[in-house]
Amino acid sequence: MIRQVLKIFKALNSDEKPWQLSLGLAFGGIIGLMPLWTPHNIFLLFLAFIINLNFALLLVGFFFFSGIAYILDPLFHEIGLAVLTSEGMQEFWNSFFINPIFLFDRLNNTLVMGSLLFSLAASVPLFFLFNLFVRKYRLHLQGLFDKIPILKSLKLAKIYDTVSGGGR
Amino acid sequence: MKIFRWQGVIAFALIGGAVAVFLIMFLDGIIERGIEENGSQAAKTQIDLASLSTSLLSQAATIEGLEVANPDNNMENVLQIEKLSMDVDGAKAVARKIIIDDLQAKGIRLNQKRTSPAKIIKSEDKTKSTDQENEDSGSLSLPGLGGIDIKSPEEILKSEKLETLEAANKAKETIENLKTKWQKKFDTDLNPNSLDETKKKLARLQEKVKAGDLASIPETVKEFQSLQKEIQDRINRIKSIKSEFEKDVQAAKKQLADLKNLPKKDFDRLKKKYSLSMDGGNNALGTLIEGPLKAKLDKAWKAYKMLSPYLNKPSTTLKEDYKYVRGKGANVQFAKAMPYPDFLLKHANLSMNLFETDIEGELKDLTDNPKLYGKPAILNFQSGKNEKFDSFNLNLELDKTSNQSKDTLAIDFKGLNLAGIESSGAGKINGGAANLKGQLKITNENDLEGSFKAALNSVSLTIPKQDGNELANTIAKSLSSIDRISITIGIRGTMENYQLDIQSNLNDIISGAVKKALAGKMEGFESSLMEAIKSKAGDSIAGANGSLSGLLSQNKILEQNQSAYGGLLGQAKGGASGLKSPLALPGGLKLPF
Repeated sequence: MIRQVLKIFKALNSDEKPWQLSLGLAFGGIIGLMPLWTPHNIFLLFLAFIINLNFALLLVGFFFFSGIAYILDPLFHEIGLAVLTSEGMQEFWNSFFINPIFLFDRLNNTLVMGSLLFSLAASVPLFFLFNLFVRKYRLHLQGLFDKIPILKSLKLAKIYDTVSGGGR
Repeated sequence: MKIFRWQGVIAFALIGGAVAVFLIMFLDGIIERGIEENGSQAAKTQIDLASLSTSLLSQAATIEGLEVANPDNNMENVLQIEKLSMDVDGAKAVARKIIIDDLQAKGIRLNQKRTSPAKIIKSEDKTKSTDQENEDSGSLSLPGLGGIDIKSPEEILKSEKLETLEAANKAKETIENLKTKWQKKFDTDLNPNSLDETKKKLARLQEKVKAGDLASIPETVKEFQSLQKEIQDRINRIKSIKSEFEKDVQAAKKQLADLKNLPKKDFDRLKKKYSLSMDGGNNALGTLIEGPLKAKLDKAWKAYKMLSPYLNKPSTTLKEDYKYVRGKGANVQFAKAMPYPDFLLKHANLSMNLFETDIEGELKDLTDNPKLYGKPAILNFQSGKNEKFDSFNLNLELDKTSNQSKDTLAIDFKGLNLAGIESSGAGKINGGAANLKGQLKITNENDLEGSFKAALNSVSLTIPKQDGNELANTIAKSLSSIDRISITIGIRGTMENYQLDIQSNLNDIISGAVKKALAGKMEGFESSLMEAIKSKAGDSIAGANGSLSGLLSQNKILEQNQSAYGGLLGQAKGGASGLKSPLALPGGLKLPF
């Protein structure tokens, strides 16, 4: 847990752009909220490898949102069930699932569909909110390490290097 | 700052490659363990595989040494298959549909001994059913009555309530209550003081008459008339009480009269309950055939019920039917998009070992969603003449394509060599041949209707003697002497509540043997039971009779009172007439006063 918190601080204090951090967290959120072993999760992981996002925050996001997913499990089922059994969408789904790849991807599963829709919808505000948070943090709080004596003393500790990103 | 890091492709490829290599190397083991663990949980019994190999290129899989343990006996396999090889439709597998185009199953064996005990798969209702089945394992054995023992009348009466005794006690109590009631009534209504007072009044009037006071004659006459009326009222009242008393006495007498028939009634009831029935032959046949057969049928129904949900999914599912399961969700079906069931076995060649003989069979169109697939599953085993039997034909059709499912089992077994067949408790068959033919229909997965006919010819039985089981030994002796047995079994009802109608020539054979064995035992039982009943209820009956005598004696009080008042009435009338006669004038003239 402490390690995860330190990773966030390290990322916040690093030279990486805010979008890299926010995208890492958003990807972690999407992967964490969905059932792990689905083909589209592997695709997202592939994207995470090639997009220059922060991988540490992806892992933090993954672990954090996996816990949230357990709580939201019934909600995901309800969303998925409502969407997949909606009468107006039956024609669309029947043509959509003609392609066996989507069945292989288990998109006909209420939990997979529900969590996919929820996580995609939630990832957009999550990205922008975290982006804003990173900017505000760097503008107002990053300098505190040099101003407050207690925090300043942290500079002596090895941990400072870790959280400030100086140890890289 | 670059948006993409192309070296990530290499990293992903390396990780993906490592995972792929791992899967290729260990996929078979993972699937094998998956089948063993998930299959055991689903079937609620241990499932073992000796080996499993898959070929992604040829889309085929081979399983060797499949063993399914008997959930009721962990030292037995209910099913064993030496080798299973199958061709899977790879394109459909992408859509998560298991479509097996062709399957070859060799060395199918039923009810084989295990080399090591199977693990017990925990299940709540499991313990209950195991306990039940242990009580009646379904093995064929002669009736274990533990010898022919009749309880002594004294023992019987210790544990049985006698209606006679209860009725006698009740009658005694009723009569005693009547006695008390009438005693109270006599004390109030037949008070001796009132009789004395009447006597005194009469004596006073008689004194007045003797005094000869002419002036008081009219008044005295009136007093006499008043006294006469008073006495007459008393006599009428006594008569009324007497009539009421008589009714109570008659009711008490009737209660005692009813007691006379009760010992016989008690005797008949206890005789029926405790004597050994001469119809025991039928019961013995029930024990011999119906019990073990029902035990086996119940097991078959249980297996059928367990499998049915896997073979009868609805073709279309309503929104309400998709049940939420945490962490798993529900798979919504899109039959129009992919009109294939989740599981389909198109064709299978089977080779089963029955009576140490290989029988070839064929299975077609087995699916988890017959309504969607539209064809019934058909299983057929056939074999011609061999060392063990003349012919064997088994047809099973599971038609669940419509809302009303119709499953049919037909069997025709001819010339089965019975020599060497052994059953614990029932002995050994030394020789003979059996024919079995029948059909069973199961409608809506619950309603049963079927009939089976078995004919055993040239039968030679050796049945071991059972120490202390006189009845079993008598039946065994009678069975050892027969050579032809015919049994017809009808099944009708539901799986929870079905009736077996068993007709057999064994009825007469066993019934005769039982009658013979029981005749001696029953001698003397009936007379001693009747004596014991009479002896136990005798005191109570005598007590009730004594109470009635007491009640009847109370009648004397009424008689005495009636007689006394009758005497007084006579005297009063005499007194009054004595007064009138001296005052009467000739010619019927009356004095003016």
